[in-house]
Amino acid sequence: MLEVEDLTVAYGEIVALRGVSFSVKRGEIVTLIGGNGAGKSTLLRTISGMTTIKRGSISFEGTTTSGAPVDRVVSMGIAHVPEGRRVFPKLAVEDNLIVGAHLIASKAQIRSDIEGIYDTFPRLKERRRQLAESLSGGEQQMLAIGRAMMSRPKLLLLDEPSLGLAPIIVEDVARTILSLRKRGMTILLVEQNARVALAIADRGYVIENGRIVFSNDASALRRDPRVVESYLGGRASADMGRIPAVAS
Amino acid sequence: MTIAEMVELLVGGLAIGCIYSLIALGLSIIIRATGVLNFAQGEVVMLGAMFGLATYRLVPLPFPALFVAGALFAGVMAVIIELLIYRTLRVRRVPMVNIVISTIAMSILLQNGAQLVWGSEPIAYPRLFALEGLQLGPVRVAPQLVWIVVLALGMMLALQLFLRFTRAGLSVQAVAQDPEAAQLMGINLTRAVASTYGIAGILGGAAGVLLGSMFYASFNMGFLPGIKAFVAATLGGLGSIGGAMLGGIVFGLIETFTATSISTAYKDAVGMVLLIVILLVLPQGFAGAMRRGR
Repeated sequence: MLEVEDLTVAYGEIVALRGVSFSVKRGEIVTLIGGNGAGKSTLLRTISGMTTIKRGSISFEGTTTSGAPVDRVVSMGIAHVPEGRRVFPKLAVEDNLIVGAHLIASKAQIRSDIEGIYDTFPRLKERRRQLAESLSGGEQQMLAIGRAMMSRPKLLLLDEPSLGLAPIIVEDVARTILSLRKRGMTILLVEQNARVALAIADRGYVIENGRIVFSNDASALRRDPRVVESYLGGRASADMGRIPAVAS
Repeated sequence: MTIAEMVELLVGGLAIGCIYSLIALGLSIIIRATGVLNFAQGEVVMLGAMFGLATYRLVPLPFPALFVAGALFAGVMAVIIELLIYRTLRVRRVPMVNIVISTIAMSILLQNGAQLVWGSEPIAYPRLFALEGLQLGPVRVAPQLVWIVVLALGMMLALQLFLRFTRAGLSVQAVAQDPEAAQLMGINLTRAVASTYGIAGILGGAAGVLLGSMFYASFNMGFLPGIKAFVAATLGGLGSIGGAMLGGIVFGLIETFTATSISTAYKDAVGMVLLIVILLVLPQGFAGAMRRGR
């Protein structure tokens, strides 16, 4: 569905991505894990068309998207939930959703999609008239995901959805991601919290200094000593008991 | 001062204040969407006044129709200027200061252009209103002032309704609050910023027709009101919509009462002293003071 090939991106002198290649197949949850500044956010921003590519290509469902403007990428079916949620703080919850449907022409469809989002996230329905800035971090994350769903995407890019959330809320977010996939959504998840990411993903790529250093099935990565050492706090995967319970 | 005189002054101050509010609103939405202080907003006001006048000479329409014509023309001009100049600078990623300076250049350019087309002499607006004052009990009010207040408030109401209840208005707000996130919703930033300038232009042009009808139209009529609108917007809290409306009205009232109680000659100076005082004691304006109070 998404093919990224030999992608190189630089901000001036600083090279953020060096020849990154990977793919996401329809219906998969693929995660990119890596530390701060490894290039994870840059990768998602590049897929969305927000940075200029130095070398390489991106294609989505067989069509080249690299070089296309952001609104064009969104209209092709890629929705991006940015790092830090970035909900519109001074708009009501429901107005955030309406703005998310910017490219949808039919008002009736928007109405029914909003109801669908409210079914998934009842908290948002309760707070539909409140300003987005008054929501808790977890609620804002739900709103950011709901807002992205309003464009009826085929592929959802999630940038650090667990960032700054309490562990129990992180589980909620993880459950939400799984339920989206169950409904046919394809998801590319970027996370520093490798524990959660590998618990819900099918496959994972590890990115360091702008390079993909290795990749495997998520279950294999969970046991990979390199991953355990660097990203799972060096403890054995026995410690993973809690989160995988979410996956079942 | 009798009560009647007081009310007359109040209505006069309110009328000029509403005009400042319209200009300040345009400044505010541009600041919110792009961060640019648009020093050419006053010239957009002038263009609205001139075009309202030109329309009248072509077809002597009633005042509300001239008001709409002047506003729309100024809106179109503002969009053209944005797309031709400010956007070109923006896509080259020049520092913000350069764009602000280019608005000063546009201000002078438009003044000179208007001087070429319409000459340097002030042009009187046609008499569109009955001179006979409206008698409200013991108080006599010029119908023109009532018209100005009604049309300006109507315009502000329309803006509010647009921003809150239409999808296009919500998109404009989204761009103002977080341009990058708005882009991720599929909003085309070029189009969104151009429409923001268009709306600011409509507000400015509307103010121009009202201002022209109060005094006269001339090539440099917009300059000082444009600067005063900055004071009004700062008074309300730069970038705040409600603040710009309130700031304009308050500033108009202060100016009018200063002119009668102190001296007409110093009323502009008083306005600028006010600006400096605001910057010193209330840097966030009314909007900021309200937030802190909460």
